[in-house]
Amino acid sequence: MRVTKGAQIVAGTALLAVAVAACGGGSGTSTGNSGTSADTPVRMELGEPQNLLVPSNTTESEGAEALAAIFEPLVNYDENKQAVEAAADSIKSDDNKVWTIKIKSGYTWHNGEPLIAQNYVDAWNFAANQENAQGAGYFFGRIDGYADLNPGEGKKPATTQMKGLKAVDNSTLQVTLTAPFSQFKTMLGYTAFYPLPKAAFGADGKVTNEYGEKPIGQGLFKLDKPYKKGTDQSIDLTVYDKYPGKKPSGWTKLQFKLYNSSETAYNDLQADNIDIHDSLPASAIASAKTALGDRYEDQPDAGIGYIGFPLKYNDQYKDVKMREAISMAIDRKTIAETVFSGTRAPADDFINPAIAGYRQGACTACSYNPGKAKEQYAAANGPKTLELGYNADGGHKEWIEAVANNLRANLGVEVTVKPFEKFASILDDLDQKKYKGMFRMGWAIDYPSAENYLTPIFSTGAIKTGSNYAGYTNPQFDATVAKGDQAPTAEEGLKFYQQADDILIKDLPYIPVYFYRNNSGSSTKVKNVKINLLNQVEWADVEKA
Amino acid sequence: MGRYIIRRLIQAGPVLLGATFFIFATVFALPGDPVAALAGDKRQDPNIVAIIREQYHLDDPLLVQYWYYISGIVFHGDFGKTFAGVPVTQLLAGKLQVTLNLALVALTMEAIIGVLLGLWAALRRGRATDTAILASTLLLISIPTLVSGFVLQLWLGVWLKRVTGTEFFPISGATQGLKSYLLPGFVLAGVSIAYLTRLTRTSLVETLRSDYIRTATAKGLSRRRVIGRHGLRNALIPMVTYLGADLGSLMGGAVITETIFNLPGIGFQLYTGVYLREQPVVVGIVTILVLVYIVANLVVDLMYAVLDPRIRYE
Amino acid sequence: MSSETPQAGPVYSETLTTDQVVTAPSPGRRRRKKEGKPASLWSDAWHDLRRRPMFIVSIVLIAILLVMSFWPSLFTDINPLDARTCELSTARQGPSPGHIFGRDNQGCDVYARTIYGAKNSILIGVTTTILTMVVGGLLGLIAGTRGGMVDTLTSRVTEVFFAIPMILGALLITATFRGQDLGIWIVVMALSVLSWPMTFRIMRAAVITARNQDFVVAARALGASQSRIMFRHLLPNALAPVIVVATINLGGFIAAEAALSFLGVGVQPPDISWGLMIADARNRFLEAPLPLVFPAVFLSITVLAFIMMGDAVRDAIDPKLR
Repeated sequence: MRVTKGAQIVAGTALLAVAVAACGGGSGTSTGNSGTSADTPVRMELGEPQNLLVPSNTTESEGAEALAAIFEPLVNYDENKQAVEAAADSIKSDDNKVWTIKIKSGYTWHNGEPLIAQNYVDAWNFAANQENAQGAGYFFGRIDGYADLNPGEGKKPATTQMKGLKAVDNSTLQVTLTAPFSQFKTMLGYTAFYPLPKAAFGADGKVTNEYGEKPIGQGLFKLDKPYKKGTDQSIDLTVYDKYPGKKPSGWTKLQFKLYNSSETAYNDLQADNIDIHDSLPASAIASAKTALGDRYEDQPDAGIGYIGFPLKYNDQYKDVKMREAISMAIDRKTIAETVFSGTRAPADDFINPAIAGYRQGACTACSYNPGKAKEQYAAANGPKTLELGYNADGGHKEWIEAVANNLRANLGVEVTVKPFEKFASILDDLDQKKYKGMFRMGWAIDYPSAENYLTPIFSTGAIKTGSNYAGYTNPQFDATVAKGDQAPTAEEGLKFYQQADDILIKDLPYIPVYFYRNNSGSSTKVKNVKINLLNQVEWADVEKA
Repeated sequence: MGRYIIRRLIQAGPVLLGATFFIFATVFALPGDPVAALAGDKRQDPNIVAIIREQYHLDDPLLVQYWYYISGIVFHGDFGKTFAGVPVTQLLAGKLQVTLNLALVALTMEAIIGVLLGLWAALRRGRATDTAILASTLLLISIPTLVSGFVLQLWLGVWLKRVTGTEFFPISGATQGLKSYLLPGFVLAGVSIAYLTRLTRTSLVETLRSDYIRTATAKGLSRRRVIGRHGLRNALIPMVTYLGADLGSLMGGAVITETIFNLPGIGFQLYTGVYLREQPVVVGIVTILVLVYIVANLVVDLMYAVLDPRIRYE
Repeated sequence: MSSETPQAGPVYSETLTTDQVVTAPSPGRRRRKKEGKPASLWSDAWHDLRRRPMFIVSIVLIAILLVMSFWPSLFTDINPLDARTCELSTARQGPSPGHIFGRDNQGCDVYARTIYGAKNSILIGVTTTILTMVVGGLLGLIAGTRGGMVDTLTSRVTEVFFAIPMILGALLITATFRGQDLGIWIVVMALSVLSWPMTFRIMRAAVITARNQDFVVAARALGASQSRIMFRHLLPNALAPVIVVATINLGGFIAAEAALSFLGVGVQPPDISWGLMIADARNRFLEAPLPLVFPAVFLSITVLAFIMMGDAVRDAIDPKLR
C-alpha cells in the first residue's frame, strides 16, 4: 500500500487540496554553512505515521518508510524488479507450497539479542490473529492456519499459532501455504513480514505500546529515543554499529522531519532545511525541475488510478462496447501532463511499468480516440447521463473534473460529478444502492508482483473480502490467475498473469487512467539518493556532499 | 462585581457539560464507519473492523458511550485515546502551548495593526489614506490564507534565507521561539486585521460625533486628549468584544496556517479528529475552546465596566 | 473650539471635509431636519440616503452585479457551462484574444466563469449575511436590552456555538440533509448557523453601551415601551459595528462556500461560484495567478459595494447625525 498516505497527510492534502507551487527562480546554490560533519543528520521529509511503529499494523507509506530504516526485510528488490535475499540467506520451495527460509547469520536486534527464526513465527502469528486487529493481518492469508486465527466476527480463535508456520531451528523457518503460490518470495519484502524480538511482547502476548513508540529492529538504524506520536515533530535515528550489511559512509545520523503538507516540505528543501523529499506535489514539479536540476528525480511508482464501473449494481454499464467508448474518450496524456504536471503517466495496461510483466500499449481502448469513442458510444446506445463519484479527501477533484469534461465534450453526455467525503463512503453508498454511478479507485501494491494487480481487485473471491468493488466476475479470469499461482517458477507464473491481464483488457471492468510516478528531490548537502521499488530510500548509498 | 464573576464561573459548569455532550453526540451522529475508513482505498477486513469497534465501544448507544467517556475522565483521569492508541492528554499537552503562542501572537498583531490602521483611517476620513486603508482591508479579505501563507513563506522564508543565508522567518516548525510565530501569526491575523480596522474606524468616527466629545472639545481639550482619552476609550467596546471572541477562533481555526508552517497545534488536530471521527480528541479540543470563549467573554464583559463607567455589574 | 486646528474637522459634522468614501453629510440633510418633524426614522433615512453619492455609487455597483447574476450572457459570448468551451491542453495559459483573463486549471475561460459565478456567490453572500444579521443581531439586541436571565441564557448558548468547529458543523448539516437537493441553501444554512455568534456579541456589546445613555434613560422614564426603546432608540445606535462586521462577513461567506462544496454540498461543478474558482486556482497560484485574482477582484468589488452601502445606511439612520 505504498501510495496510501497516512490519514494525517491525507487530511492535510484534503485541506490544501495539493497546494501551491513555488517558482524556484533558479540558483540552487547552497549558502553552505559548514554542516558536513558526521553528526549533522541527513534529514528527510515524512508524513506523520498513521499508527505506532508496529510493522504488522503499518499499511501506509509513511510508517513503512520509518520502519524500513529500522528493520531489515527478508528480501530486497533488484534493478530487474526481482526479489533478492537480504536478511534471508535462501528462500526455497519445491512445490511452491512448502517454503523453507534460511536466515543469514550475523543479524542482531538493537538490544543485542541474535535474530532467530522464532522471531518471525512470533511476529507473524501475532499479526495474523484477528484478536490483535492488525491492519496488515490479511497478508498472511495464504499461510496454512490463517483461518484458525480468523474464525470471524464475534468468534474467538481457538489457537494462537498458525499450523503452517514452524521454526525448524534457530536459522530455519518453514512456511506451508494452503495452496501453491509462485509469488510468495516476492511478498516477503513488505513491512508486514518483518520479525519482532522477544522484547516486543508484553505479558499478555501482545505487542506493547512502549515497543510501538521505540521499536527494536535488526536493521541499519536504531531509534535514539521513543517516538511520541502526535507530539514529536521528528523521528531521530543513528546507525546501529553491529549491523552486518552495508553502512553509509561519512554520516551516522538520520532524521525524519514530520510534515502535514508536502508543499511546505518542498519549501524547506529549497532552503536546504531538509535533504530528501520523496513525494513532491504536482504544483512543485515545474519549479523543482529548474530549481533542483539533477537533484530532481522522476521514476515509476507501482500505483494505478482507475475509473471503476458499478457492474454489480447497475446494468447500464453492462455493455463492454460502451465502457470502451468511455475509456477512449479520456485524454490520459493531457491529464497526466497538465493536471498532474507529470507526477502521473497515462495508463495503458492493468500492470504497472514499475513491475515485471508490464506491456506497453497493451490496453488498446486506453488510447485517446474521441471520434471512435463517440461513434461506439452512440452505437452501444449509452445513457445520456453519467455519474462519476470520487472521494474529496485525496486531491482527486481536478483530474475527475478533467475526465468529466472529456466525457461531456467527446460523448455529448451530461456528467454529474459527485464528491464523497471518503472512499469508504462511496463503497457504503454502492452497497446500499444509494449511488449507482462510476467511481474513482486507486490501487497501490502490497507486494511487487503482477499478480497483485489481478487477484485482489478483479477475482471473484475479492468481491466479498478484497477490493473488487465493481463486482466483476469471470471464471476464465479466475482460472488463469490460479494457473499462474501454481506455476513452478515466478517467470512461468507471469505468463499466465499476462493472459489474465489480456482478459481484463478485453472485459474492461475498470478503466486504467494513470500510473503513479515517484517524484523526489534532494538538497545540495547530499548526493546519490536512490529510491527503491517500495519507494524507500536506499540509505547505505546516500553520501554527504 | 466579585459576585458577578463567581456567578459567571458557576455557570461555566453546565455550559461545559452541555457542550461536551453536544459535541460528543454530533460526532456520534455523523454517518460512515470511522474504522472502515482507516484503510483508505482498500476494504478493511470486517473482522478487524468489528474488533476495533468493540474496543472503542462504537457499537454502544450514545448515552452509554458518553458515560464511558465521562466516567473515564472522572474516575481515572483518562480523557480517551485516538484510534492509533495515543492518549488525548499526551496528544494535546504540547499542542496547546503551540496554539496558545500562535493565537496570542496573532491577537497582538491584530490589535496593534488593526487599531492603528483604523485610527489612522478615522482621522484621515475621506482622504487618500482612508481609501488606501480600505483597499488593503479588501485585499486581506479576498486573498485566501493559503495563498498569503505560501507566498509569504516563499518570499520571507525561502528567498530571504537563500539570499542572506540567515533564517529570519523559519519556514516550518515551532522550535525557534517567538521567531517561529511571527510569520504564521501575521498570516493567521490577516482577515481579523481587516475586521478590526473597519471596526475601529467606524466606532471612532461614531464616537467622535457623540455629545461628550463635543463637550470635551468645547472645553478646549487638546485634540490628542479628546481622541485618546474620550474618543478611543469609548470606541474600544466593540473592538474589545471582537478581540475577545476572536481569541477562540484564532485557536481553533488555525488549521491552514498550522499546516502551511508545520506548527503542531490543536487546529490541525481538531480537523483530523473530526475527519477520523475521534470523539475524545474532538470533544477534548472543543471543551478547551469553550473554556477559552467563556473566560474571554467574561473578561470582555468586565472590561465594558472599566471602559464605560455607566455600565455596572452587581 | 477656537483651539482646534482645521484638521479637527471630524469632531463637528458641520466642519467636515468632503467625505469621499463613506459618508458625505450634505448640508441639505441638516436643513431638512429643521424643516419639520420627519414621518418616521426609516422613511427619513431613505430620504436622506437618496442624496448620498456613496449610496448611489454602491447601488449602481450592486445593480451591475445583479444584472451580471441574472443575465450573464450580456457580458460574455462564451457559455462556461458547456464543457466544449474548455480545452485541457491550454490549461493555465495567460491572456489571449477571446480569453482576456486566460484559462484556468481545466482550460476554461476565466472571464466567462467569473461572470457566470456571480449569481451563486452573491446569493450565498447576501442571504447568509442577512440571516446572521437577523438572528445574531436580534438575539444580541434582546440579550443586551433585557439583561439578566435572558442575557445569561443566550450568552451561554452562544459560547457553545462559538466553539463548534466549522468542519464539524458543516459535516453534521451535510449529513442531516444528505440526498436532498437543497442546492446552495444548505450552504446558507450551514454558514449562518456557525456565524451568528460573532454578530450576537457585537450587537450585545453595542446595546449594552447604548442602553445606559441619557436618551435611552429618558425614553424609559417617559414610559416608552420595551419594543419601542429597542427598535427606535437602541437599534439605530447600536447598528454601526454590526454593519461593519456584516459587510466583511459577506466576503468571508462567499469565499467560505468553497470549503463546503468540497464536502459535497452547495455549488457543485459544472455550476460555478467565485469561492470554487478561488479554491481551485489557489493550488497553482504561483504558476497562474489570474484564475485566482479575477474572481478575488470581483469578490472585493462586491464587498466594497456593500461596505459603502452599509456606511451610507448607517449614517442615514444614525441619530447622532441628526
